[in-house]
Amino acid sequence: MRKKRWVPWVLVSPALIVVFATTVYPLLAALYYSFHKYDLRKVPQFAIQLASQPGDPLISIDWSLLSLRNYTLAFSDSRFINSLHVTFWFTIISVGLSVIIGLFIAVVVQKSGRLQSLTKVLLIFPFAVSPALKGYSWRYMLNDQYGIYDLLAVELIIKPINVVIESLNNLPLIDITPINETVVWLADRFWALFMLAMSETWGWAPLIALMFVGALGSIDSQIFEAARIDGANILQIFWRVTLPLLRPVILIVTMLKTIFSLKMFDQVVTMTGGGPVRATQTINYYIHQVGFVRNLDIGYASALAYILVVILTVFAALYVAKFLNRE
Amino acid sequence: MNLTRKILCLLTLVLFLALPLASVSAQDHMDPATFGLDASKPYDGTQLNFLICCSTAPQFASAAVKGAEEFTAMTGISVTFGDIPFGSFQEQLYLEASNPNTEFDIVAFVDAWGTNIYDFLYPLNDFVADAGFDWDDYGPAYQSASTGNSDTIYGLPFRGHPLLLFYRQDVFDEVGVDVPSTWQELSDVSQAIVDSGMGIDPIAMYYGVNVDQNLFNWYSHLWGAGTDIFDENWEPAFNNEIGVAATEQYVSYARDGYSPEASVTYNESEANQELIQGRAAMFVGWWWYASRVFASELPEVADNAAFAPAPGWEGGSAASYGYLWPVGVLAQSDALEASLEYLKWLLHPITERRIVLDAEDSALDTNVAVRLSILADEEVNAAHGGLQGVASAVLADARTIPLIPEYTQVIPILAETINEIAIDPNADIQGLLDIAADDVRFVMQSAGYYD
Amino acid sequence: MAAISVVDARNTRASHSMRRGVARLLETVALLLIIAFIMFPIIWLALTSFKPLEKAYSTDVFFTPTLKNYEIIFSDTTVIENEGTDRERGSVGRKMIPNVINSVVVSSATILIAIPLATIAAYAFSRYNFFGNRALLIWILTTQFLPAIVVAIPFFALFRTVQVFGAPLLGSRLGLIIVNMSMVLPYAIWMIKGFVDSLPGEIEEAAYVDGANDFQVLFFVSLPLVRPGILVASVFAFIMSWNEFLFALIIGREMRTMQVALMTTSGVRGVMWEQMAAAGMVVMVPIFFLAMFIRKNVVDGLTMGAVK
Repeated sequence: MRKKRWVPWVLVSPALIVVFATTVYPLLAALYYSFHKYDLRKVPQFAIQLASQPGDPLISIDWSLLSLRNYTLAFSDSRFINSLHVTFWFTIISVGLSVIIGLFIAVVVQKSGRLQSLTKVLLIFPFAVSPALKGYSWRYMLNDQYGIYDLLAVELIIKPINVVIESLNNLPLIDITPINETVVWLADRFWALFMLAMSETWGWAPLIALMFVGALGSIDSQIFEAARIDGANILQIFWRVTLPLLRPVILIVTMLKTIFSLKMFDQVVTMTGGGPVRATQTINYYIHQVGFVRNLDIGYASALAYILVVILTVFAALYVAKFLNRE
Repeated sequence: MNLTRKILCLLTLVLFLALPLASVSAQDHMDPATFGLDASKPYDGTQLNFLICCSTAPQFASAAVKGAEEFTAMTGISVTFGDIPFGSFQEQLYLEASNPNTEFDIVAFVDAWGTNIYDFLYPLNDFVADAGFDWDDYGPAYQSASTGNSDTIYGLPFRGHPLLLFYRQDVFDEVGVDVPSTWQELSDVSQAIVDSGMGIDPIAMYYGVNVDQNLFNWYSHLWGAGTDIFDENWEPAFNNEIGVAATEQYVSYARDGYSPEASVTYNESEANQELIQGRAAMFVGWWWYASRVFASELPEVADNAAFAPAPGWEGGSAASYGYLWPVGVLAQSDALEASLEYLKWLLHPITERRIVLDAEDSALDTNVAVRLSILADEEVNAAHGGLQGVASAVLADARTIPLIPEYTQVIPILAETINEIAIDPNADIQGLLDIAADDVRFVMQSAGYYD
Repeated sequence: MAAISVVDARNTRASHSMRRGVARLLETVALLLIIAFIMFPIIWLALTSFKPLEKAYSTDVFFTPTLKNYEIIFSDTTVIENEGTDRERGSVGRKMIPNVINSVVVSSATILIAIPLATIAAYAFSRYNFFGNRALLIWILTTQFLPAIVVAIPFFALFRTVQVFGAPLLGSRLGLIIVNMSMVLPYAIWMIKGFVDSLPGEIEEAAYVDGANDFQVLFFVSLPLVRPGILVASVFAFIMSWNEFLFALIIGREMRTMQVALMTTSGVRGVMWEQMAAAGMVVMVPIFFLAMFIRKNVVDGLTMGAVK
């Protein structure tokens, strides 16, 4: 072997330096900011030559002040606690829906057939739509006056259900309140969060399906054949054969999607604006609000971002552990 | 570059030659002395950057962008506009103001946001005195918004807006009701419109949380009923008995079904669309919406829309929010004098009058003026169907919001609470306002207001 | 006995084929539903982008297609609609050409910087056994889980004070490109490493035997072989930076990319949907073509090979 020992270092260092500078530097800087008050309305510290005196109230960071204030504040900040709740539920709903719908799509398109292969090609499309655009297009389609999804949901789902409810109500002792047919999706706390998760699911479920299809393709088809010969029906095959075989992939996909869901930001801005009330203010969205819109306190925003980093680290560690296991 | 300058010089020359032939008023426009500008062009070649929102909106485009070449011709100072969309303007304003190396010299800003950049604005008191500015030509609400209730003039009134009630005369005629002058009457009129079975929503309100616009009409209710955001010790006062009653009235349009169900998500312009598209009979909003309403595609809206002062409180006052965009000069600008020259021209009564009378370009048609003298001007009123007269009546009672830096943190708390109350027909108004009051008190306490 | 079993068999065969028919029908219905679920928002957006204003605010699917919306979003002057009618309306042009240029420049520059760096690093990680190889790779993997906001805040604070060639980095393309590295580079390293891993090492060995040095092997033997993989990684990186929103919002600022420019379709009517749809098509359609190109690699790309 003629490979020289210094060569790999020459090859990796440019990339390592850039990765280091663009990830470790911000992590350290944010940690530092998180113990300080950094007021966006004041002059940045590196530009003090233009401000009058050191210690001038116009300078944004008070270097001497090092405190846990931002962290203690975070846990008494009802809006931050709210954003934890919102993110939690958003993650549960979006991960659950993405995996379940992804599984459904995978099982359906997995077989050979012309329509199946067409669908497999189409699965890539929602991935190509940017999250910001996803948010806008869903908001448009959910509009209560001219939204096509609103129209379809009311005509195809709510009205038929109400017909059933009304006929049930004719029976004695039954009194079910019909569903509101004029529901304004993004004005309702639950529906707004749900639809936010749906817009995310629309982008992710097809991708997850692709992952499952890949995994199913690598499974020996004789296993399915054997199960079929043994007289198992579709559901039995799904529960007894497909699902157990897919379990490791489902686990990894779930973790991956969870990590992405916890970082939710783009669609909140373009679809709900955090509303109604605070129902869709995810952690990331609230941090942006704190840092750049409301408190204008980069220190506090950094502290909140760090809390998010800690939460994500837990999931990332699980993921990496799983990843190492598989290799 | 060189060619442009040549053409500009040539144009100027042609204009000067044409001057004696032009009418008297045109001569006014072109004479630097009329505006108090230095005819010797001491700042010739200076490049000014004006941080302005939404430069495509008629009220800004007509005022700032259009006619800028006229100013350049007189002074040799050219002005470029940093066009920032409304959604990110607040953030950009703070960034540029606190940036010692900012390229911007002049800023236009929303009154409430100004409090956060007062430290970076060049005090204009001397300028007002020296340039012979008639400070009393601005109403009290605009004066306090320009000074943050202090003695320092941080900005001068540039674009200002009273609240008006826009309504459909044909609907009112058919139902047989008069224009409401109080919110309580507005409820009665709304009920009559519902009862008439015309199938039009009586009023389009905006309770959405997106850009905090759901507070505008709430202030009117609050002040009209006789309370305020804070008491004199900066303790929250909006959750007292009067505040609860005012809030109850404010959300009643949604609860009673007078306002479309989706109005709990609307911002002001979305609510305005309800009127423009013929789905609602009333809308209370800033007066600059007039040009939008009268330009509706639907003839029944365009031909029948009318305006009146925003309602007041029965047995109370008609105080409402006078919303101001002052224009100021950044203290770190390296072209302070040239910027002040620009303000002389931009804010001059002649310029303001020209803007509001210029109906040449429909995309730039605006009714917005801020000076009392222009609001009272007969020709101006004639051109806009008396809009300015009604506006000055509203402005006489108008006030401004608390102009303290912390108020930008208070606004989202209030806006979310109002949204919460509007969304849930069974919401406990007192309870939610109390929670909001606690949150507000926390902000104020952290800022040291109770020490 | 025999007769009975024949009948039995025929019955089961008949019910079997009927069941199979029902199953096939159900399958077809499910497939159509899936296609509708996937494609509907895209098709609806495409339709809306060609609608005249009045139709954009309705669920009508019958309309005379118009290119006015595209004209408005790109124009820098007022565009007159309904020309020649008594209700002419002027829409202010949205001047989006610079935004498209920003998106193209930022995304292209990002891959032009990231991909070469990633390629040589990935090659080293794959082919050399050096101290810390494994640990560094895992560390690079974990950077992918950093929330973008924690990268954006400190760079925002830094860039507002740092000037390059007299212009602040905040609100510049360069600033955005730098920050994009935090996201794109680790990704590209892992992807390209996967491709290098899959190359057989014999050719390289042969080159070494022929007396080539490390760099000759890398540049003249391995790189040409891994070129398709590099192309796929580039497309991936391009899509990532093109669709990036948070950095563009906080760091890019008024140097708006198309993602942020979508927000400028908000105006006095709220979001102007017909213009948003047209801008959305500009955002989305180029990426469709790129996505088709990397269709087979999407799964590996997203999971960095964790799902195989």
